[in-house]
Amino acid sequence: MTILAELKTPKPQPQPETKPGSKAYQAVAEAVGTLRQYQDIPLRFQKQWITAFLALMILVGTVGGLYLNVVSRTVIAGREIQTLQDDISVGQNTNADLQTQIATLLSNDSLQARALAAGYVPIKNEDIGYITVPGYFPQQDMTTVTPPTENTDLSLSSDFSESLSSWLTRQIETASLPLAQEH
Amino acid sequence: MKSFQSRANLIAFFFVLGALAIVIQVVRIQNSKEADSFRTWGKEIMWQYETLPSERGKIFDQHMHMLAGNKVVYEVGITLKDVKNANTVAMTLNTVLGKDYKEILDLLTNPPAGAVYRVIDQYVDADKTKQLKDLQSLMKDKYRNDGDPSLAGLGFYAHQIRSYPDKSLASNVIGFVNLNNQGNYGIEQKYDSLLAGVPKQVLVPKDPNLITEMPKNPSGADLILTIDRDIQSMVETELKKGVQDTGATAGTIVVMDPRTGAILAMASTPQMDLNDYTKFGEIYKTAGEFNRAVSVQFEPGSIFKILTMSAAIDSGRVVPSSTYLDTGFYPIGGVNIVNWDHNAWGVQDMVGCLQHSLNVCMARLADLMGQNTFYTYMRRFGIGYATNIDLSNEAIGHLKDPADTDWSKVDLGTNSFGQGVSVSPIQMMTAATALANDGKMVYPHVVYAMVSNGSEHITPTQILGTPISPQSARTVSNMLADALQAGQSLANVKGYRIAGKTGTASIPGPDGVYDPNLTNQSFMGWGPVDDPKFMVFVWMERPLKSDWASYVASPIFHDVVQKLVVLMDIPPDDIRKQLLGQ
Repeated sequence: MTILAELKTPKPQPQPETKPGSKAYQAVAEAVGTLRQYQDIPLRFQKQWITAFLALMILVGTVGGLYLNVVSRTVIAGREIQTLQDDISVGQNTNADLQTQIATLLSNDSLQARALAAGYVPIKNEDIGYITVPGYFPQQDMTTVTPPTENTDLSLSSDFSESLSSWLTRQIETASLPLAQEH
Repeated sequence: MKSFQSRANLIAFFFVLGALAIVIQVVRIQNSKEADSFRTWGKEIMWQYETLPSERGKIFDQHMHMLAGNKVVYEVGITLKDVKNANTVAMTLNTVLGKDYKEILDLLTNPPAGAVYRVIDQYVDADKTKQLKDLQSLMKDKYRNDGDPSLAGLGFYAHQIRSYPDKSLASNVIGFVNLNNQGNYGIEQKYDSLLAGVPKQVLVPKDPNLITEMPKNPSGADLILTIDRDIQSMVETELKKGVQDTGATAGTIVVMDPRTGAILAMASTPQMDLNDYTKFGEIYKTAGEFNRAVSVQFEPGSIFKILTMSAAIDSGRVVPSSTYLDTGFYPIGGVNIVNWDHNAWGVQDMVGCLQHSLNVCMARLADLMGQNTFYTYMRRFGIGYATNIDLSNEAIGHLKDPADTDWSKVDLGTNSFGQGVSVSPIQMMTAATALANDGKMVYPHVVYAMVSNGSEHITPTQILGTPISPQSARTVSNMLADALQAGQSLANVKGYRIAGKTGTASIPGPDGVYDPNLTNQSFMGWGPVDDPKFMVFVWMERPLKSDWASYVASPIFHDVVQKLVVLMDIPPDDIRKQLLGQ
C-alpha cells in the first residue's frame, strides 16, 4: 500500500469523552483526534516527510546564503573598484605633480645655477679640442623614447565581473575535473 | 463540530480576502502616477553624471626635457549645511588663503536661499591645502563639543593645471593655457585639441551592485618639439644682451635646421613667465607681439637681395662674374633707384653687388629679368604666402603683383632690394632654405613628433617646392660666403665658412613715408656652407647703436653662431673635412 492510500484510508479513531454543551471541550477533542490520527501514520512515513521538508529547507537556506554571499562580495568588489579608481586618480595626480617637480629641478635655470655653484664654466670655442677617431661616426639623428602604453584593465579579473550563475558553473566544472595523474 | 468548521472557513476566507487586497494594492501602487515619479526620482539619485577629465598632454624639447607639464591644485569649497563653527572657518580661510573674513562669515551665517555649496578658491596649491587639511583634522580630533573650533564643511577637490618648469624659456613658442583649460598662442593654441584630449561624461551608479569599471579616458597627446632647450636658452640670453646693447625696441632670433625645416630655437622680446600669464596684458600690447618671428611682418630690406640674386642666377640672366657699371642710380618706372650711400660704385661683379649691398644692382637685375620672371620667382619662394608653420597667428606678408591695381614699374625696382614688400622672419627663412638646401625649400615646423596612446607620429620633412636649381643654390650660397669674407663681416666665425646677408630697412610710418631716423636691422646666414646644419635669423627693431645692420645684427649673429657650433657639436671646417675624409 502506498503512503497516499494509507493516508486516504480512514481508520477508526477513539473518540474522547464528551460533555454535551461544552464547545471548548469539543474543539479540544477534535484536536486530540487529529493528533491521534497523525500519530497513527507509520513512523517511516513521518520520517520521510520530515526529511523531505528539512532537505527543502536546507536547499532554500543554502541557495539563499549563497546568494547573499555572492551579493555581498559583489558589493564589496564594487566598493573596491571605487576605491581603486579613486587611488588611480590620486596616483595620476601625484605622478603628474612629481614629473613637473622633477622637471622644475632639472630646468635650465636650475641646472645652470647648480653647475655654476659647483664651479663649472661655460665652454668656449677655443677651449675645445677635436680628436679624429678613425672609424667612429657619431649618431646625429634625433631619438626619442616612446612611453609605454597603459593596459591595466580591472575588468579582466573575474573577482570583479563574475555572476552567480557563471561562478556556480565554474565551481561545478572545477569539481568535475578528473584528478591529475601522478607520474 | 460543523459550526467550528464553518467559522474556520470564514476566517480563512477573510485571510484570503486580505491577501487579495494586499496584492491588488501592490499592483495599484506600482502603476500609480506617484510610482512613476518615485521611479524617476530613484533613477535620478541612483545614477549621477561624472566628467572624466583628460590629462593635458605634455610638451617636451627634442631631448625630452619637459617644457610644459601639469601640477595638482585644489578647489577649496564649503558645504554650507556641514559648517559647525562659521567663525573658525572664516578666520582660517582669512589666515591661510588671505580671503576676506567678513565676506566668508556673512556667507556662512546668512547663506543665500537654496545655496548648498560655495567655491572659495579653485586654484589653491598643495602646500596651503595640506595646511588646511591638517588644521581640519587636528580640530576634529581635539574638539568635540558644540561651539568648539571646527573646520567641518571645508572640502578639497584635486585637479590639474598647466605648469611650465622653465618659466619663460621658449615662451614665444609654447604659449600658455588659461583658467578654462584653453590653449592660447604658440603650440598650446595650435595643438589645443590634440593636447587637451576629450573629457568624457559617464553615468556612474551609486548602487554598489551596479558598479563597473569606469571607462578609461586617455590623456591628450604629448608633443615633442624640435626645439633644443640648450640652444633656446643660449639664443634667449644673446637676444636679451643684443637688445640691451643695441638699444633696440624689440628683437627676434630664430635658429633652424635648413635641411629639415626644424626650428631649433625661436625667441623674440618681450618674454613672459608662462606660469604667470595673467600679466599678458601688461607685457604685450597686441597679440602679434607674442611671437614676432611668426606674427610680425616687416620690410626686409637688403636680406631680400638674396632672393633677387637667386632668381637672376637661376634664370640665367647673370653669372657670378657678370659685371655692370654702377653709376649710383638706376631709372625704373620714372624713379631713380639709388644706393644706400647715394654713391656710384663703378664696375662691380655679382659678388661685389652682394658684398656692398647695392640697390642699383638689384634694380638692374629685376629689370633685366622682367616683371613676370621676377614675381614668378618670388611666388616660388613663397613671398606673400603663409608658410603654414605649426604655430598660431602667422602673418602672411605682402607682395604687390603686376596684376594689382596699385602696382607700378617702380615697385619692381624697390621690391628687388626688399622695399615695398613685407615678410615675416619665418617666411624669409623658409625662402632661404632653398639656397641652403640645394634648391629645396622645406616646411618650417616646431613639432618633431606627437606621442598618443603609446604611438609616435613623426613630422616628416616636407619639401614646399624647388624654386631654384641645386646648382643655382650652391652658386648663390658661395657668392654670399665670398661676400662675407671679402667684406670682413663681423658676422664671420673663425674656422667656419658661412653664407649670409645683412638687411637694413627703413621703417614706413603710418602715412607710408619712411622715417629717416629709424631702421630695422637684420642678418640671415647659414653654415657651414658646404653642408649647412644651421640657419640663423637675427632681427633688431629700431636699434639706437647704429644705422647699419653690419654693426648691429652681424655681431649678434656671430655671438650666436659661435656658441651654436659648440652646442650642436659642429667642428671647424678643416676638422670636419678630415672626419669626412676618413
